[in-house]
This record gives sequence, structure tokens and C-alpha cells, in this order.
Amino acid sequence: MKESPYDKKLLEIKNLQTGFIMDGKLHNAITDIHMDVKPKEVVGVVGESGCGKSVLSLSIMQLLPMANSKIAAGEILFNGKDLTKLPDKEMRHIRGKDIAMIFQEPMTALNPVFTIGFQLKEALFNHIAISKKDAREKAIHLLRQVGISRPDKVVNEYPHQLSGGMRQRVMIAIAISLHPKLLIADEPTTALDVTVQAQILELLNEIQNEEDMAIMLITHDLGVVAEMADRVIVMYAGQIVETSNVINLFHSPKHPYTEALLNSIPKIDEDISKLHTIQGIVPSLQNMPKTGCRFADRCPKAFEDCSKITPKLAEVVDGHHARCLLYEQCYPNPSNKQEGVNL
Amino acid sequence: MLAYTLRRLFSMIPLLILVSVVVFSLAHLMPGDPFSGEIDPNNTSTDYIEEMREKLGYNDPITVQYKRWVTNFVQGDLGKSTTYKKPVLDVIVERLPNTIFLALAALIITYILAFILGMYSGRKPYTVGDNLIATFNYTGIAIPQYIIAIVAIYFFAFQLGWLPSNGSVTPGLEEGTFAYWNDRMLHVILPAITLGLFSTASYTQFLRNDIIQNSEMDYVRSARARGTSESHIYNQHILRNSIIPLVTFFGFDLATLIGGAIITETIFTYPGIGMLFIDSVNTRDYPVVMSLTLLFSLLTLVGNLVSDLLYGVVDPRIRY
Repeated sequence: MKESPYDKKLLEIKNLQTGFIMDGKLHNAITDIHMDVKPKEVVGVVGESGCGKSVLSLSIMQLLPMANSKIAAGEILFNGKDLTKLPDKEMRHIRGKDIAMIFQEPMTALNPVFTIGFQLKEALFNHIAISKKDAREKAIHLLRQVGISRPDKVVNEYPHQLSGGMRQRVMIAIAISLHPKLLIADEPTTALDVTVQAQILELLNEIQNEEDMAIMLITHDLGVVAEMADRVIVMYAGQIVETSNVINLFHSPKHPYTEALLNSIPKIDEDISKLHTIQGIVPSLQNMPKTGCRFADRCPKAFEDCSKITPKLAEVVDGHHARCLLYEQCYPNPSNKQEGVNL
Repeated sequence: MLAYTLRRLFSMIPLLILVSVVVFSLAHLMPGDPFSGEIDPNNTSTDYIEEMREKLGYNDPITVQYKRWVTNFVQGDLGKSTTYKKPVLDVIVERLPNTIFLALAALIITYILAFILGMYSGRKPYTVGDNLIATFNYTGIAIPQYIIAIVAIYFFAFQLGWLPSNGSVTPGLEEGTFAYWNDRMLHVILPAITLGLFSTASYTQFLRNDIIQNSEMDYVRSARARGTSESHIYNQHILRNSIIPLVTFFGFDLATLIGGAIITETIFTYPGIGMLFIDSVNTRDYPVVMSLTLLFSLLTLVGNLVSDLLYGVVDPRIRY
């Protein structure tokens, strides 16, 4: 994709590599991550459990557990500032203000012993000078904005008095309280009932339009992506394997993994006794193949090269990137088909 | 809350009756009676002793004796101490302030130390400071109280001469003056530290572990995600959650500090309830022993109730 002055990037990640230290050795959870989010854009990040989606989002927020994880390489540029090099104090001013995040588990994401109002107001007090009275009014206003009825009552209630859907609404209210430019939503609907899921997605859509913010939507649910995202990033075993706009991805997936994922969605008009699945499991961090494609073992289209040559992410059709040796462009060195190495 | 409290108080009655039966039986199972310890058989005729036993009701059937004791007890007549020749209630009330003073001092030392050390260790686990605190704590837990007491007396009272080694106050000081209270304070320091050391050590480790556990909770991550500072996260979000389990201990403390000061009070010859209890057992002063045992049981029950009620105060998820 050519860079033009018109698509200014809000978030740009270059060559990001984050790993966990286990038995004194660094095992990479995500490698070679190149991606960007433009203002007001909804980017879906899809992949099965353990593919590194959450590590990616926590890397951006600089919220990885400090004791055993490390950003080993790469840059995370937010409005041109490299977040990986920012001192903790400055990063704290970005968290919640410029970049906000909502999590998978609304049941545990709120502190059980503080009122909803306390936690909402805390987000405000952290970043702006505001009186207690104004903060309370703002909190009530925010609760109303995310569709909570009786916000003046709820503001004094404790998390356990609310349902899962309500709590996720509160989390969204906290997240949007300071009009962030980017909202990272890490599986925001996974823990909710299907009907509540739909309501929360609708709310996110509405808010995105009102607030003009970009959303990075992390999910394993392709249905959610289809509904929300402008652009999709598919991750597998810590790498990006395909990126494209949402329409192309669903209509003509390029990577066999994406194809397999789309294939595993049950179709309502299909009469089968067994659902389509992808054979095998994601390799663990310690057992990543050193060379070759990480999906090779499970790939129905794998051929000889796949276990020997490490593909790179390359543009296969206009604006559509994939990491698969089915495409000539993805050979690390197309002229002599030289082997690449997995990090 | 009021209804709950009343219900709990009401449910104590059968328990207390059960305890009273046990206490009464145990007292009677002890070998000897007040006469065997207090009266010189060479000077008194055995006939007279027998007559007195008959007169005081010691020869009545045990059920009659129990009924008499309970009837008097619920009317506030705890009996008469055979050693002090005074009503038991007076004997206890005389000693109680000393014990309460000691218990309060121990509680304050325990909680201040446990909070400071526990919060530090919990926030900076596996550091040198945390390891030093853990070493101190496990040493404190491992060494029995009577050894700590003796070592403390040896160093601070005899070698350094900083603090008095026994009693609750130097005789001759006028009550209510500054010198009097200062003296009492000095007398209570060593026994209070000895008494509080074990709980300080266990509370510190407990608080530390709870803080570490809480620091991995989702709500901590989401608080960080909205830009909350680390000190706010630890001192507000985590601490507020970590004091909830500590409240349980507070109720137990109530009973153990009043009743459990037996060893400490005896070693420091601190005239409180604990020492009274040991003395009464030695002189077979049944009325005092039985009254104190019942008092300890009652305190345990009340302590449990206090913990449960405090839960409702500190944890909004619990409502009675």
C-alpha cells in the first residue's frame, strides 16, 4: 500500500516483537507485526485463542505483566510518538485519555468494592482538573450516553448490582469518558449473551460515529468483524497472516487459514452432521517451528516448500496482504527462493 | 442488620448453655476442691471440713449444683472466689482494665506494623526488603511466645535497662497523673510486643499475599488502562479489597487477646485476666475458673459476630 498524505496514520506498528520470559529464555508471543490504524477506522483483529491478539493489544497499552514479558523489538507509533520508549508517567497520561481499552470480562473488570461512580470519576480525575460535583454530573451523563437507564441511581451502585451487559456498558462509558482517539476493544462481547452482544456492538457502532474515534476490535468472532470492521487483520501463531478490507477478506480470502476459518462458520442452510474444523492445534510458544510456515502442519494446501521456507507478508492483490507460499511474492527472496527464518 | 444481629445473639444462647455444661463438668473433673488446697488438715478436723462441704453444697448431686450455679450466674451472681474471699465479679473487674490496656496496645502495634510491612512486601514482592520482612515474620511465628518474652526481658530490661520487666505499674505513683500513665505505658510495651508479634507476623504475610493476588486481578488492569497511578492502585483499589479478609482476624483477636494473654501475663507478672486464670486453676478456685472460661467462650462468640458485622461494613457485596 502506497502511503499518501490523505491516509494519515493514528497508530502505526512496525516490526513489533513481544515475548514472555520462560525458564530464562525469551519466547516470542508475537513477531513481525506491521499494522496501522487510521483515524475513525474500525480495524478487526481476528484469530483463535493463543494467537497473540491480546498480547498485541496489551503491548500497545504498555500493560503487559512487567515481571515476565518484554517488548523485544519494534516500534509502536501513536500520533508519531513511540509508546515503547515513553516513560511510564507519560504513558499513564495516554492511557484512558488518548487510547482507551475495554476488556473481555465485564464481570471482573470493575473493582467490586467501589461504586460505579467512583470508577467513572476516577478516569476523569486521572486526566483533567474537574470538581467533584461536575465529575458526578459528567459520570451520570456518560452512563446515559451508553444507554443505562436510571443513571443517577446506577452511579451510586456497586458492580455486583449490575448485569454483565450493564457492566460492559459502564466499561464503555469509562473508556469514552475523555473522548479517546483510539479504543481498543479486546473481545468486548465474548463473555456476554448473544442478545446482549448485539446490543453492545450496536452501542459501539453508535459511539464510534458520535465520537469519531478509531476502534481496534480484537475478536475471534468473524460475525462481529463482518458487522463492525472496515479492515481486517488475521493473526495466526503470533504473526499476521492476512490483511485486507472486510469485503475482500470475506469474498476472496487469500490465506488457507482464513479460508479454513471462514469454512468453520456453521451455515444456516447447510445440513451437515459435523461442523468443519481446522485439524490440529496452534503450536505453543516453546514449540514454534524454526523454519517454514507456522500453519504448514495444519494446512490442507501445504506443499514441500511450506515446511522449509518461511513466507513473508506481502501484497498479493491490490491492498490485500497475505503470508503464504502459494503466492510468489511471499517468498523471502523470490529470485532464488531462499529460506527465511522465523524469529 | 439489627434483625441479623439479634438473630445471631439469640442463637448464642444454646451454644452458651452447652459451653456452661462442659465448663462445669471439667471443673468438677479436676482433682481436689477448694478445701484440699486452702485448709491445713493438721489444724482443722476432718469432721469440720466435711461439715463445711455439706454446708456449701459440695456434696449435693452434680445436677443440683449445676442448677444452682446457673441460676445464680444468670442473675449476675458469679459466686465468691475461694481465694480472694470476694465476689468473682469484683475480682474480674479489678483485673480487666489491665488486660484490656494490654490487648489494645498489642492490637495497635500489630495493626500498624502489619499494615506498613504487609503493604511494602505486597507491592515489592521478591525483593530484598520483602525477603527480610518474611525472614523476620517466619522467625516470629516459629519462636514460641515464652522464649520471645524471656529474651525480651533479658535484653531490654536487664541488659539495656530500658523497660521494666514486670508488673503493670510502679507502686506508689498517684493514679491519674502523667507519671502514672507514662509508667503504665512503659510497663505494657514489652508484654504487648510479645503478645502482638505472632499476629503481626501472620497478618503481614497474609496481607502481602492478598495484595499480590489482588494485583493480578482484572480490575487492576482496567484501572491501569484508564491511567490510574500505581500508588492509587495499591493504596486504594487493592488495599480496599485486601482489608476484607483481615477483618475476620479482628474478631478472633478480641477473644485471643483477652484470653490468650495467659503466658505473656504470667511471664511478665502482669496482673491481668490471664494471670488470674492460671492462679485460679492452681488454687482450685472453681467460681473464678468457670466464670473466666465462660467469659472467654462468650468473647469468642461475640468476636465472630463482630467480624461478620464488620464484613458487612467493608464489603458492599455483603448485606445483612
